[in-house]
Amino acid sequence: MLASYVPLLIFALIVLGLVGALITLSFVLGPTKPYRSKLLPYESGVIPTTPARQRLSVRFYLTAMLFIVFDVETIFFYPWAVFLHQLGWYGVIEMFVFIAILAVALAHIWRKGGLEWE
Amino acid sequence: MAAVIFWVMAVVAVLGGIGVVASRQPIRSVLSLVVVMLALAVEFLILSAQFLFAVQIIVYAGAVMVLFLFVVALLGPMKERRQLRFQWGLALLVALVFGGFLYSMLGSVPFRAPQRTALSVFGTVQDIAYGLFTKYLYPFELTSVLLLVAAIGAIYLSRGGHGIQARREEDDRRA
Amino acid sequence: MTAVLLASLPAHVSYPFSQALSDLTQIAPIAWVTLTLLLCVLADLILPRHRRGTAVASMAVAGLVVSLGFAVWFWYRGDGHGAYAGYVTGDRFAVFFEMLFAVLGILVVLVSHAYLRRRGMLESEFHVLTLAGIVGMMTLGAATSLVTVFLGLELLSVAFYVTCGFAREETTAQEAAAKYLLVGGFASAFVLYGMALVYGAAGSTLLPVISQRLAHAGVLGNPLLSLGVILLGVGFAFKVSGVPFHQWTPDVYQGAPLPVTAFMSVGTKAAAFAMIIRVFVQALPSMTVEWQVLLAVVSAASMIVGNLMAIVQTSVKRLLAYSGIAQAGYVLIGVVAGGRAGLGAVLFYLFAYLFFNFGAFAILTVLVRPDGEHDDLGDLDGLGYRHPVLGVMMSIFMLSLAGFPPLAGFFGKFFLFSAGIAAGWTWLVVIAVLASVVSVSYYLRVLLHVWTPETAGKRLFVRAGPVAAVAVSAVLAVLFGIYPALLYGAGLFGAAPIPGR
Repeated sequence: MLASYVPLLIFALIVLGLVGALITLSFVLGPTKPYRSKLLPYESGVIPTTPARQRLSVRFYLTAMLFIVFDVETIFFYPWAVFLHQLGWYGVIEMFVFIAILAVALAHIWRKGGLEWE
Repeated sequence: MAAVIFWVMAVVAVLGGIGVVASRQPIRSVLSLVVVMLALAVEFLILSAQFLFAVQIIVYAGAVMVLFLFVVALLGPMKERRQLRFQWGLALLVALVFGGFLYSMLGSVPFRAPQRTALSVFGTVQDIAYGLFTKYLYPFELTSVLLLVAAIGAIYLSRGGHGIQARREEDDRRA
Repeated sequence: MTAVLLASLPAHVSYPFSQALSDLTQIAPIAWVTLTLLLCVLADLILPRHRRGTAVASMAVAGLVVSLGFAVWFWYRGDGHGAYAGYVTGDRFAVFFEMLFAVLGILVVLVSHAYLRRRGMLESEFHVLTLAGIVGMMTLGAATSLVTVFLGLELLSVAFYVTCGFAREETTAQEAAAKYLLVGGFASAFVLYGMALVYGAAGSTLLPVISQRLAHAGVLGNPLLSLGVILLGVGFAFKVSGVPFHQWTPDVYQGAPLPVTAFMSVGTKAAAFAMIIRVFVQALPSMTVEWQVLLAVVSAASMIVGNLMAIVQTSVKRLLAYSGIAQAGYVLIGVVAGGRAGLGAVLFYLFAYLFFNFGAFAILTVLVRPDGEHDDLGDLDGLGYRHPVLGVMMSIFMLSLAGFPPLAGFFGKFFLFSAGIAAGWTWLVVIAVLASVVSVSYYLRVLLHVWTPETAGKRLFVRAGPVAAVAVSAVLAVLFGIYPALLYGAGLFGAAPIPGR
């Protein structure tokens, strides 16, 4: 059983190795001559007047929250799609009730301006 | 082999958990939590719950952590400076006492053999689907209501006094 | 791989239409409220702004009335059984709570509509969230699986997290919402850990199956189970606001808008008791000794701390919050005593408590002004002289809370205490009786303010909706006091589906 995951493990190792190699290489090969203005967030740009760590607007949170709601919805589609043949019409109706309720949610979000960035 | 992976991932998960509690910067706590989630995902895989593995990565390590990051950013990702006196000592004491309690309790747990014989199906997407869309029909449909309410609540609370809809209707009336 | 899959899973899932209809019938009251909720959301989107709030409120009331009709019909048919593979049921216990929550929902919409208008925050989301809370509560009454229990709990909690902070520009409301969110999340986590451990020990989430497996298999010495019961008990104690898990209650009750406080004080409590009875009494009868001790301690502590703290309060909302903590202690006696008499007394008390506690909060809405709520004891001065009817009704509610005969509160306590003595919990009942004697002092203090001879005062806000809700509550609080057998019989019937021990 575990043997079937070996490709996944190899994939993970390749990814980790590649990322590690790239970071190490750029660190080792790249010339490092730091001076003050080079260490600013925007080199040769506008000089920052406030700290970069500021509070973000609540809109980002709203976007993330709505994303989760529909992400969870999407997750339910995978098993449904795989098993739809066996479920037949029963599965179709069941999923459409689920979608209908979330469509109401989408309509609400849309109409209340949740999708707009003011 | 499975036992080795289990222990490695268990240690990674616990270290991640310590990172969540111990780091002073909220952002680092969130990133440590991602480590915990990923380690747990691998544990699910060892238990041959493949679908759960994927969901754990997509929803928890992905979406939920993004939400956490935005909340941290919303509150201001400042360094946490306040700390109780003797906090480390107290925390260590509580952790030790609680750990000892758990160890002594869980030491005598009688484990059962799995009830299902068809272990080759267990945890596959088909198996999950069969359960979800037959036995769990009522909880499944209730989930959508829960998501609907969460969306309505999030919109209401974050929209502020006068939403875009109110303003648009104001425009409509004028036009 | 695929061949193995097809061999062990059914090639075709059949779910005939008759089965679907029968399943849906069992949960018809819940399904109807859910449908109303969806229609309310849509109506909110379509209707013009000035008509939206009223229309949604009337739709909500209409939907709840129909749901109540379904519930009453099923109550008289009395042939409810498990549905959806045993994850939810339509037995009399479920139907009892469906009736209770439908009535509560109607009262909440009546009171909150006028309140929101007055405060200038009439948004139809409020009614939608009220309906969502009702769906969650009804689900808790009907749940026969740990999964369903948890979903119901979350649904009701999420609805309250938002409604607590409905006055979103006020810091007190924000504080209440944030506190409730943190404490509620904490409690949910406890409940979930407890459920996970119980599931690990029993191997099923279905409550009857858990009860069966634990009765036969030799898993009783299983530490997982004891730990699970402790964690569940802690989470439940949070939800009924039992001492020592009560600290959030006064702050949240005070910060939340009045109708939400009224809704929460009655609804969350009743739903949490339904959950406790379902999980502890129905699924874990083999762990009775463990949870009995746990709940008895919480009960005694709640009665003592709740009543003593209530004496020193000056805000009526906080006073009623502490009184609610004490009342939760009384009701826990019935759960600890168990048996048909004990559970019947719990159901009687919860239904009667709905009227006199909700009514007491609802009366406070007449003191609401656009700038906020005024709920100090001094604000009640002279209420009885300016509005004798309101004064009389407030007196009924307070005397009923204190347990004076012949009001519903008296018989509620009587049934609870006698069930406690019959089951051998004399020390708990002694504490309860002493605590109720103490409680008389602060309930009468409220009445002292109501009947202060002072006619010159601020203008009161008296509207038909809330007054109707209050009047119905007062009449029923008296009716169930004069004729308690009516409701007690229903309580006994409602407790019947829960297997006795």
